[in-house]
Amino acid sequence: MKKKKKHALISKKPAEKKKPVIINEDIVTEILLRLPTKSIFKFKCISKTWLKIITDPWFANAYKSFNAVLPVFAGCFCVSPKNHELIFHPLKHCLESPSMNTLPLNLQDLSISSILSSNGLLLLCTTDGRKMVCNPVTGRRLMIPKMKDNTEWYHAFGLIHEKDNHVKVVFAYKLATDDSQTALFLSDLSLDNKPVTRKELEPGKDWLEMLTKWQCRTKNIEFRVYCSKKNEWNQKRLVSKFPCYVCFDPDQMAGVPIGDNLYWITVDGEVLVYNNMIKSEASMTELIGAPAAIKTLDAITIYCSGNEILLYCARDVIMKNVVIIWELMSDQKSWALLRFSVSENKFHLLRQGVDQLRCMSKSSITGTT
Amino acid sequence: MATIITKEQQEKEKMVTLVSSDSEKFVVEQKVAEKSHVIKMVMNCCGIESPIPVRRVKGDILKSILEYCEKHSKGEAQEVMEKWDKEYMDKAEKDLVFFHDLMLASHFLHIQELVDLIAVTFAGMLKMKSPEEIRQKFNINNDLTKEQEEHIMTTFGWAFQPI
Repeated sequence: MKKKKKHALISKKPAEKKKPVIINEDIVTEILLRLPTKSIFKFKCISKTWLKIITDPWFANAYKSFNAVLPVFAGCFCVSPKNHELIFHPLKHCLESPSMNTLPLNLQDLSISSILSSNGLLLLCTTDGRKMVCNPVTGRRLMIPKMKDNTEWYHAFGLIHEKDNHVKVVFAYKLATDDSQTALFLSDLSLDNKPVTRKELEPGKDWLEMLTKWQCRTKNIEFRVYCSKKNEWNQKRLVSKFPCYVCFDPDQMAGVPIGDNLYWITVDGEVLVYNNMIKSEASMTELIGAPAAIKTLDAITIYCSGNEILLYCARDVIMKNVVIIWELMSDQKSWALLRFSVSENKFHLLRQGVDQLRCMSKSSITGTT
Repeated sequence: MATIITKEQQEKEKMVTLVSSDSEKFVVEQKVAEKSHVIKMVMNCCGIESPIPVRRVKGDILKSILEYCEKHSKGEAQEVMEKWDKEYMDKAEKDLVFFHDLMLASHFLHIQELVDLIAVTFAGMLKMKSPEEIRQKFNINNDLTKEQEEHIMTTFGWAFQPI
């Protein structure tokens, strides 16, 4: 038997050729399913009906299964400071992401001091010293219990996914401030518009002390690992001793995770690797030298390419519009020069993603729902 | 062209009569009509002796659809079919009203292959258009509030830029 259709068939009479088409909702859906993501976002503002169809969760699901490939998610989230909404900036417009909306983070109940992201999840730090991992898609939070004699201030952080939706959260602390004198060279410190030296720092001023500590290099770094599966911190102390001074880049505290490795860029342009699987302390961490003389580079950042390879991007100090990219070879030591000159625009976006929030995600948004 | 088959042929093959909304009659082979999932179900339950009314589809549309179904029930080589499909689409998309009705009818009659073909062509036609162009093409009234529209434009700014 014929089914009754909800929508009337709009048929033209041969005489009135110029009668405009009134497009049927089912037809709109069928067409949208076959459009690239960019067009779908664009067509949200056609009318209420189109917006309704596109933002319907059914559509996102249908779009995903229709296009049969799991969307590769390359881009970055930026948190809008106004309303804590996550805004996604894809790096390639033709990528198919079923996420048709910004994600409200709903952090009104917390007083947030910082948000960092690694591996698609966010680390929230509150002003009262609590830390939690938050999934921006589902809104679920995981509270990290306080650790004994834990200093609130960590120098780097990274997150590794484990089986059964569990995570390992790695915090790195600089142990001794062996090289505190170099601190002031790293950034211009000024107080009341006058440059200050270390001696002038008043002992009581916490933030100055903190800043100095931050910028000190160290040869010893302690890693503390929280494992959500066991719901506990690592028992044994994991301390890495390096032959040279190391300092994390304060703008890039969040590590770039690739497989079992976490990578951080240091202020000297070297890359620090932490391997989650290696048990021996001696080889757990390693320093990879910078691919070129640091003085010739500017705006250095690292990120993970879609095929799980670490990319090292920088801008030429002199020729500002030249962007250089290296790829880390599988020996985890040497770099291969990939290509020159990415458009300035995109590079800014990359920097923005890493600096301001903070979230470079390679995981699929649907994988975490 | 949809073949309207003579009586002699009708005796050889199992034939079925379809009647469009404007009472135009089409006599086609059963395997051609079966391309439509809906008609197939009707034939399964009511038989093929009496004419089957296709009340929602007008004669010119039904004719075009049957033309497609007939070609696709022959099992010809893929390249031949692709070429034929392309020509068929080139002809159909010239008249937007006809094209839209063709898609609606194939959607209604459940001819998935044809829905796919038309939707892909449609998508290609709309992909690069601006929202305003789409509104004009389909006579859509922009009923979003200024705030809603602005919000979409700012949040998804990248979608509005050329690649």
